[in-house]
Amino acid sequence: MTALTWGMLRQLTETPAGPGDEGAVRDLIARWIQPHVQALRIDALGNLIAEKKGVVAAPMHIAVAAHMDEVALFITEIDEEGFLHMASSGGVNARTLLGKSVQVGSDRLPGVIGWLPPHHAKNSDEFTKTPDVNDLVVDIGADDAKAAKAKVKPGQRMIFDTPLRLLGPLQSLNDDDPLPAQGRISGKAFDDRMGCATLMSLLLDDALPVDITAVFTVQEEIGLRGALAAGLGLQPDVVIALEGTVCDDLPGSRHEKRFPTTRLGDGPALTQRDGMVVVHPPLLQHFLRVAAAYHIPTQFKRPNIGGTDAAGFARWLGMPTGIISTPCRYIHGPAAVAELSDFHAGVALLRASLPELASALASHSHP
Amino acid sequence: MQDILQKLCEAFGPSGREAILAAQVAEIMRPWCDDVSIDALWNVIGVKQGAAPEPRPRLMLMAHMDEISMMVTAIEGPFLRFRQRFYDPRLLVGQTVLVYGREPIIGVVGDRPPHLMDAAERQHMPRIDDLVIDTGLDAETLATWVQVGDSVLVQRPMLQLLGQRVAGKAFDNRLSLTAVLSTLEALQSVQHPGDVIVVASVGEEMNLLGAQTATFGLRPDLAVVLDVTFGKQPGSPTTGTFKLGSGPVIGVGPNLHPCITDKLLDLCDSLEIPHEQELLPANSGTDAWMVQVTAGGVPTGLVGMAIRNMHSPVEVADLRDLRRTVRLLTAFATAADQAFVDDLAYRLPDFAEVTA
Repeated sequence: MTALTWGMLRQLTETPAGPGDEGAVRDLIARWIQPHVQALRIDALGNLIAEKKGVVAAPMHIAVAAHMDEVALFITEIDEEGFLHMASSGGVNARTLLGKSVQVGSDRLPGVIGWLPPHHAKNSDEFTKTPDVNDLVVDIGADDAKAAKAKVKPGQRMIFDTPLRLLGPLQSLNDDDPLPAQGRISGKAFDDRMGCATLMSLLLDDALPVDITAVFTVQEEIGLRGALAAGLGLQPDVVIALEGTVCDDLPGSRHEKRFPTTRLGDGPALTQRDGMVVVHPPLLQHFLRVAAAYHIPTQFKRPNIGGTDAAGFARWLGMPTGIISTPCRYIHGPAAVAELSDFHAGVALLRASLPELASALASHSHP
Repeated sequence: MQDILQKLCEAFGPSGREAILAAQVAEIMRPWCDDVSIDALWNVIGVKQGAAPEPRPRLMLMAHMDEISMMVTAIEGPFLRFRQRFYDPRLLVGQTVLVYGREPIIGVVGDRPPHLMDAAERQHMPRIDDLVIDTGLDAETLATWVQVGDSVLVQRPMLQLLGQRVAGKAFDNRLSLTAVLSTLEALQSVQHPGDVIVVASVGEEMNLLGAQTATFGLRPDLAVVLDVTFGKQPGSPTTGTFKLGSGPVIGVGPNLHPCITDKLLDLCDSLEIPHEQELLPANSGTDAWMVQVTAGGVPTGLVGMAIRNMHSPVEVADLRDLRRTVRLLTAFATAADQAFVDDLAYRLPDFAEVTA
């Protein structure tokens, strides 16, 4: 089980951290984990690196990574009327932008993404085409450019402002409450704060079986930049990347069949191969053995799509990698949905995999 | 004033289902009225008596209180299908919503992960039939909470933006309703000759039903209808749109009685209230269209306030417009005496003069 509280997950997901602007989330994580780790540092790119002693020393250098950044909108211009123009920083789903509210800059100023009333539409085509991000503006209530420029500047990030919630009938949890064992949660930035939460759960565990190096990376969403730097900087023997990953298990339109990639509620997703790495087969076998032994449900992620920090880490030195993910519906939009039992099972699987990890890899080394 | 707006815009009041909202509105009106009633369709009617001896002129101030909404059309396992009316479906993708079942239930209208879309799919918005509400409940539990026909609204607390600007849902037309209620409050300390009858009408977004029935029942001597109009924003037409903060927008055209329009404009001038005119060659698209022809005809005026992103969950308004509108309405109620009402009547020419 995780020592994470509802309030920690709430703050972790609600805090804005666009690519290259991860400071607020980094500070939050650093404060929480500092009493539980032996060393804590930030590298040249902004990756937060924590050395955590386990009950026994690991015979190999195990790095576990999760990225702190989330997809963001990036202010490119403030126009004469005080509207903020934007570009996408990371793969924001443009279909989800209309009619949403965002937090602007480090002051987390409220703003809204409006759109012309349908009354002004000139033809019905307009209702079917996805608006171009470059045509959208954020309205922060400024009377004119001067009022806007007094509060924001180009280069600042704009991030969805969705609060963390339990789905279903309205109920409120206190920040001190433990994370419920199951239930659907909704919020922003589950890609990859679910990974950060998984990694934090290991760090807050003072009976962690073996030593690990935890890496909370930056700039994953614009090309695995933090992992690329940390891979060579740390030179671990093995890397496990933790993700909040794609899930497409909706009924969709009524006549369409699709492969869901992952399914909510079927347990953490194990990657066999994505668009960038083949997971080290002995490591995958090890995860599956441990899952069976501890009766932890798992599922395979649909192969050949996407890429994670695992590829960034392995880029220079080619170390074995593994990927464990929490399935999340609607990622890269304002409100994702995840199942807490998948998250907890992911933490359990990762923790239970650590003691025999080195021997599992060693026994498969070449003769 | 802002408190009232916040309370009203965050409330639940789809067209045809205004009962809960009606009770909330009546509660706000009560301390400022001599009589408050809710009629059979849930129009809320508050009467504040005037100072002149009876028979006094009876001025109706009307703002509709219903809002656009969605409705559950099918329950599919853990998901809900839904339909909308007047809601641009593009705005619904990615929204957090409240499903008003046995109790309100939080749900998400999600979209496919962009990672899995091809270029053609990315460039097209999902159709309403492609969308579902994800309630997070299993099929069996969901069926005990929700049934087909239940209303769905976007979950959206009001946001305070910079300066005097606010954003939220249902500013169409709770912004106007706030102006009307705040006028009642202002009239507590001002003498007005005629009775002021305030109506929070139902069903405007459907078919102006509340405007029709309330006016028929009340038969006022004159009326001013309040509704929102289009704010200027990037890409908006150059005419018929108004800068936020430019003050109340006075409707001009055949839907409106010229003497009431002139009076509203004169009051703006004499009180130095910044204002605009909206030129309406025919249908104003508001309750005024119905009020004008109901119960033998009612001389009607129209006052609007501009909002951006109309019919979205993030309508943006300027509180300066709201305060100025309250000043204008208060002044109008003070000025609407019997002489003014008498002048509204159209007169036959003096035949003696014509023939001579």
